[in-house]
Amino acid sequence: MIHDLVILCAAGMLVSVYLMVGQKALVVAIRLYGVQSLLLGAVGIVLGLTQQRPHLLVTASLTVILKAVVIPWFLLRVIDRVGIRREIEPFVNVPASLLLCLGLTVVGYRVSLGMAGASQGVAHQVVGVALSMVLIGLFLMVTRRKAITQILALLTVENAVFLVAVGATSGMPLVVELGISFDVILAVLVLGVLVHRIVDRFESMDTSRLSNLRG
Amino acid sequence: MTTSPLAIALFATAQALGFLLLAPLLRGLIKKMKAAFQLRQGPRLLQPYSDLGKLLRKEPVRATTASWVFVAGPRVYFASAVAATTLVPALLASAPLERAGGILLLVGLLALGRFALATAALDTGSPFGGMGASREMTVGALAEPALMLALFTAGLSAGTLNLGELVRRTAERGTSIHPSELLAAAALFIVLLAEAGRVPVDNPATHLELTMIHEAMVLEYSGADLALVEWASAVKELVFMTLLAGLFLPIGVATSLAPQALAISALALVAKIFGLALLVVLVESTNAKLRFFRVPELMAVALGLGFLALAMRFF
Amino acid sequence: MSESLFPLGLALHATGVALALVLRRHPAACRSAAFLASLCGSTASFAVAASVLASGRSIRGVLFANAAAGSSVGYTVDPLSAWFLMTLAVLAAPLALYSVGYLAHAIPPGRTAFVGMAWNVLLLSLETVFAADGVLGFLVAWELMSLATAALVTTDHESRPSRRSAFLYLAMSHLGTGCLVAGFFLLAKGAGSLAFADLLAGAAAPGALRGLVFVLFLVGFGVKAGVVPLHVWLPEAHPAAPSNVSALMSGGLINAGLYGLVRVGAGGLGRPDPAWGMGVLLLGSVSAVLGVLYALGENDLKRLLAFSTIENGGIALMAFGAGMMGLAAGRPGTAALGFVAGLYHVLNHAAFKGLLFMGAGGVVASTGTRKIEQLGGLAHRMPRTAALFLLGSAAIAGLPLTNGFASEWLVFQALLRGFFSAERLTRIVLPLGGALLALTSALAAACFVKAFSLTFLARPRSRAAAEAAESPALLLAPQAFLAAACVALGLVPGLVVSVLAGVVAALPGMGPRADLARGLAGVSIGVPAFDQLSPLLLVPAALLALGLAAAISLVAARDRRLTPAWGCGGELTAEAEYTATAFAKPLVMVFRDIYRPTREVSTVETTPYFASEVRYRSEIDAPFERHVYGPATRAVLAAAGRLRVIQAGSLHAYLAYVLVFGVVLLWWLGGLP
Repeated sequence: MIHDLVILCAAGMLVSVYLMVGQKALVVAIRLYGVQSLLLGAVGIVLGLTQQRPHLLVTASLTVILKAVVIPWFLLRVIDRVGIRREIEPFVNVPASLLLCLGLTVVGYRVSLGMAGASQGVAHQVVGVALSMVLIGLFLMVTRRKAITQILALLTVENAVFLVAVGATSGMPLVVELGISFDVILAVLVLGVLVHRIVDRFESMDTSRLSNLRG
Repeated sequence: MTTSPLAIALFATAQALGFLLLAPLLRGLIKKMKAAFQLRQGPRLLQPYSDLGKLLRKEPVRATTASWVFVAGPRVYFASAVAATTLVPALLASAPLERAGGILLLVGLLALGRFALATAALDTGSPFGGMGASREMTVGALAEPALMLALFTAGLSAGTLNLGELVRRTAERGTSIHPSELLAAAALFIVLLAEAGRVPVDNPATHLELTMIHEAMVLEYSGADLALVEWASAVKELVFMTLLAGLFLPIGVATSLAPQALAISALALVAKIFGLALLVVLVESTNAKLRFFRVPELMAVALGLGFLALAMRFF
Repeated sequence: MSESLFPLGLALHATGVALALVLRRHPAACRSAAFLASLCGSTASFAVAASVLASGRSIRGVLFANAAAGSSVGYTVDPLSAWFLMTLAVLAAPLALYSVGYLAHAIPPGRTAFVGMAWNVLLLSLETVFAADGVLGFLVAWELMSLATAALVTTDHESRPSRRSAFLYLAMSHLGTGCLVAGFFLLAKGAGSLAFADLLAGAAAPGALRGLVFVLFLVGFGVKAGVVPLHVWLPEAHPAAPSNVSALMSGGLINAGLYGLVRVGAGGLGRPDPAWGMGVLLLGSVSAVLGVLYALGENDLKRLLAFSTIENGGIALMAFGAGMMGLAAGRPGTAALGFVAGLYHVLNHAAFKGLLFMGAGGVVASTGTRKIEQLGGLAHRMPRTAALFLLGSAAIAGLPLTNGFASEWLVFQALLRGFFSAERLTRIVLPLGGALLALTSALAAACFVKAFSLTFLARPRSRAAAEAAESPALLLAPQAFLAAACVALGLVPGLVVSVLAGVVAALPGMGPRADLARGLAGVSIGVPAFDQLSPLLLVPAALLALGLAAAISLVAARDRRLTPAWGCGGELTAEAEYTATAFAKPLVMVFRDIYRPTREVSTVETTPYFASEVRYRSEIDAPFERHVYGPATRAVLAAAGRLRVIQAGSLHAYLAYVLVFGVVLLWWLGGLP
């Protein structure tokens, strides 16, 4: 039962990523990210309770607080300040993107199928989901123009890594997890500042304009 | 043979003085023979001695632009030539200071003399001095490989580069002459012509500065300075001839201090030097002086001969 | 006690760096402190070297150890390292003293700290290179050495040629280091360890790779040693640096390359192939001849000295090549002779090149120019510098009674000795090498007649030369020291050879040899004696002969008359003097196939009858730059230009690269069991 719950949450995360791909409104994308992080926290809490890993509880709660609440709030504020609320036409249009994401999901799952037996537990499912999320996150970064979307994609990748750490391994040392969490916070703060700068300079969040800076 | 330091010192001094005293005679001899070739009477046989004496009596004139290098040049040149005399075997089958060094040291001393003179020649600021120095160093540079190869051939076939030992072993081996030795001797003869400043490399009797090599270097010297240079040049020439004679014709060389052996050796040496001088005169009288930029070709011939000699001997 | 001397030396150099940094706002104090520390460091290093050479036992120790990483950087001062350390110390100690005086006027005061720091870093890293006993320590020190040198070359970074030469130096240096890393990697793979004791003890390289490894090391060390064709950086970099640095580079940095070659070639990779020895001999001969030929064609005093460094490096290589051929043929006597000759030449070169560069530095500092065509008449204005430079010139020309003659004599012996081998090729190559060495030696004499006479003698060719002042005593004393060393090393070759016999006996594959008999002063080759050299025996003869000359001139007419030089009726001015170009012209003409000189003559006429001005321009071809490095550089730049397309400057493009790579990788991983 726990097993299924975890898989459900992981699947939910993947769905949220797909929805992010199809989204044009930035606010919705940010909220989707929040949901995704919540699901990740749920996985962590469940596993922590059932596998008696107390420090997992700590990190999961931290995840919920930071990534499901604080970061989305921060990003929403950035959008508010900057005044841009919609993603413009990406390099690859939405239907095509979705198809490509399906392909990337296949690639991600291919690795997980190679792993030892389903009797292991959630491991190979989780790995499959996580790898797909990584690839789709990267894909988002490549094809979307707005900086906010790219930040969200980066955070998605980070979530995926965290998922693997929680679900498929016996977890990382507490110190490492805390460190990573704070790194993420910091990264988002910095990126937020950068967004401001980009908008100041180019009056747009379109990062393809950055190539104007090349000498 | 002789091992006590005193004996060596006496031997060296005697040999050096002998070379010093006889070198001008060689010059006179060559001039006399050249004149005979030209059906002239020519100067007296002992004229070079008178010339040296005359020069010593005149006051040296030095340029105001010159520094101590100008004065040091002839003296170092003279010293190097005299030091070289102690390294060649002359009457005896050993050289006084043969343990100081062999072929390489001898060549080095001659190079030292040339270096000193060339450096000093540039000291007056006269363009002729520079020209002479430049040409002399060029000819010297080109002659050196040929000289080395010829000497190496002689040395390697006897198994030693030590001049005294070389003569001893060649003398022991007898009078069989390998064709490679002829080639080496020919190469060495050409180098002798270059070092002594003889036709076809250089005309010792020319008055035209632009045709001079050695003479242009010493154009500015007078009095005792010039006397030293002239004397040293004559000594160098005699050293070269003695070397040639000792390396390739060690017949009659004395192997002991017995008076008859020494007398025979002296006679033999005189005969050999005479023969070589005759050869030089022949070459001088039948050839014209080469244009300067043809001299490298002559040196190349010498180099080729030297290499052929080495190749023939050992391959 | 002597165990800790080596780290002490390094620490002293490090102190010099620190002091230079701390005192950077007080140039005079900074200079004195930094170079005094350098002097002390060199002295400590000399003491270590002397103790190792005297006792014959190596000194080992550890510099850094990191237990967690399991790695340590240690040092082993064995006799070979000690020899090179001693050579470095003999050069660096007087140079430190010289630098204090020289840098007072040669560089802007603000840069003193920089030079002081970089100098000490360079010496520190050089000493570590000579004593390192593991790949890690060696490579780090090697890189540090290159960087410190490049930094010093750009001391005058306002000038574009200076920057360009530093860049060229760095590029070539990294080419060499890359080859070294590859070579060490191949060796380490086979031996499974990074310590020199395992890698260079003769057994590490597997058969097929041995040749490749040797070539890699040859290129890597050859770049540093200035072997033709890897020498192109040398004539640019050495003159660009301040003269004290040039002296250290020519006399010390080259040795790093030569040290590596000896380590590798003298049994480090096992018994050398005959082809290796012959290759080294050939490269050495070419370097020697080309080096001296290009030196002859130079009118820039420091570039002339730089090319002469290439020549002397070539001579040392010829000796090492003969030694390697001896090892390959199984004749340890010949091998020992070759290496002894080469190592002796290394020491001698440091001594006379240091002296010459110091003198040149003094001249440049006094007159402000390096061009020989603008100098002249300095023997009157700078008599002591002139005398010392003359001695250095005589030494480098290999004239008897100087150290140059002693080592060249030994190199000749090494070349001729190999003549007694049975192989035909050896018997042709070695005497040919001897002939080339003779040519080199004679050309070097011509070159230094030019360098000395045209710089110091006759009339000054420019106002700067006419108003030059003699260098202060602080600059002259170190030169006098090195000059004395040149004479001393030339008069007692037996002593030096005794020390070197011990050094060479410690190399892998050799043992103590009785072929080289030596008394205190003299050297004798072969039993029964093939040749001997005892300069001390000649000294009394030479002195007496000089005395005789002096006596003759005293007995002769006493009055001397001083008049202006005869100018064919007119007054001789500085324009009538022979120029440097003119002096070298006959040799340039003779060797024109090598020089390929170009010549442009244009006349500017005002009337049809008289040309008022003639312009003459002559240039010597630089074949390596034109035919080898030029096309290679262009090809690399063209390829880079084409690859530039990847660098679109677009964030998305870069991310796309990551994505594609990730997908491919994951697909491939998925396919694995």
